[in-house]
Amino acid sequence: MLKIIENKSRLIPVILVLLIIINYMIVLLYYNKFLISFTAILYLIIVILFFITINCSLTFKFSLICIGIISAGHTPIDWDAWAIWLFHGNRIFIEENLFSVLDNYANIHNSYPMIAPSFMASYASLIGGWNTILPKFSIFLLYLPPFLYANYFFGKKFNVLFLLITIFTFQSLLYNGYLDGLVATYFGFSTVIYYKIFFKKEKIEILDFTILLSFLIVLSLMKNEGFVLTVIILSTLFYRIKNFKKKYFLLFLTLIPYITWKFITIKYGLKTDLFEDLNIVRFETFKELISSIILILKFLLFNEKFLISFFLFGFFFLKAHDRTIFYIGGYCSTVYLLVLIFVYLISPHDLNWHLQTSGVRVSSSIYYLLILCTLTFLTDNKNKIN
Amino acid sequence: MILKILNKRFIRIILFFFTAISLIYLKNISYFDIKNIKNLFNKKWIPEKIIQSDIEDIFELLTKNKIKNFSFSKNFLNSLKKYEINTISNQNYIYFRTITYVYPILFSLESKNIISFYKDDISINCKLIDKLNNVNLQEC
Repeated sequence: MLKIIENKSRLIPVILVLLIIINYMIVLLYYNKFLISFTAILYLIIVILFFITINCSLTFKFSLICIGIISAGHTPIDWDAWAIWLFHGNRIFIEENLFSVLDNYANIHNSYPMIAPSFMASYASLIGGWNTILPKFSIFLLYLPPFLYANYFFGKKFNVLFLLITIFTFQSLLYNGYLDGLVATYFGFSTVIYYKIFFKKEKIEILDFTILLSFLIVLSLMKNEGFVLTVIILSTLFYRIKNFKKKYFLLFLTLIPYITWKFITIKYGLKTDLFEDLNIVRFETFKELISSIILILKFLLFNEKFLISFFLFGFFFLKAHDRTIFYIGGYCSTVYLLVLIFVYLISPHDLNWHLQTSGVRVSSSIYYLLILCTLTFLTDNKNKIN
Repeated sequence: MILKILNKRFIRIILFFFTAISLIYLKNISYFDIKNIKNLFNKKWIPEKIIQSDIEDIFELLTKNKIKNFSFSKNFLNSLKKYEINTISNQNYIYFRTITYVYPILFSLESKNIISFYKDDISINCKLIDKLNNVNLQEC
């Protein structure tokens, strides 16, 4: 009986994340209003099913419902939400074609991956019109596969703590229509599941492996940063190069949807703004380079969220006997930090402005991963803590 | 044993308390409007205060006159600074917000239908088609 309940609490997130991918595939390959509306309604039914059937703490369910209500009631006024994601979703919905964005109309980041706008378009199809609120609310629904998986992953003991940390870390990112919180969530969960499967030497279960593959696909199709993060996670496989198994190749297949999309956008002449007007002025003098790096680090790391997560990560790292999860978390976050530093250094925009508008939300992937690794360590060692 | 149970209960209460506070905080920093929830499945619903009044006026002018494409006056377009794309600079906001809000009415630099914002921005070669508050619609 316990086994069935345990499997069900894993099965629901797996079905949800597969529905997100199926929905994207339908929008990409054969836009059909009925099919995408069907996936949208099915998604909602399965979410409701979770709240009815899965036995988890009331606080956990109550908090998720409250965040959902706040998300549904929030009017989207933030720039990236309406200018990029909602606009792309609106275009896909009106033109009934994902490739409509390839005309580079208005030059608003049309080369970005489109899994989230496709999902929004399916909810607009469901009601037969674009009312902004429901498509924006669908962004919150994208959080649910990892959040519901957290219920199984962290168990009754830590799931509320997990939600509390998530609210503290993301705050308005949970409902304002930005995708940075989603990127951080899928990145964090992919990393910790990846650790469980490949480094804890447990028997590889098909459900866990499916959810890892699905999370990596969604992560890479969420934003360009998501692709970079997927590559960073997969790069740790080379640590196991001696015991490299054929099934590991399946993980690399998760990169194909993003690469295909990028190939199409390049063919249509769409470029990413950062690389279009590449700026190497900050590399010209050593002094300029150092002052730019200091400025970048100040914006990315000197905030209370990073400092708290770093402190907890460091504290439990010193306490731990098996430090594998900390090594993986440390490696992924450090490499991503280096990538971010490089990207900001070549940014064509005014550095101060660019950091002010994106620094904290982009670096949320770093501190969220650190805190998730710490929580995973605590969950693994809960019996010892008792 | 009793202490342990009390401890567990105490931790649960504390967690619930903090979660409740965080949720109230989340609600307070959001632009929460109960009408949005009531109209979540209403396909014709337009959230209140989503845009500036100028953009509402532009939308009304374009739809009332059945315009399919439009552009902005040269004075307005020249005031745009590309590096400020995401700033709260009013011109950039109006430019991008209009393009995204009035879609599928398309922005086109070659369009004869020009949007300008003040009386004195009407060019000699253009004909005023309609106006609403600060916004003029001209044909050039």
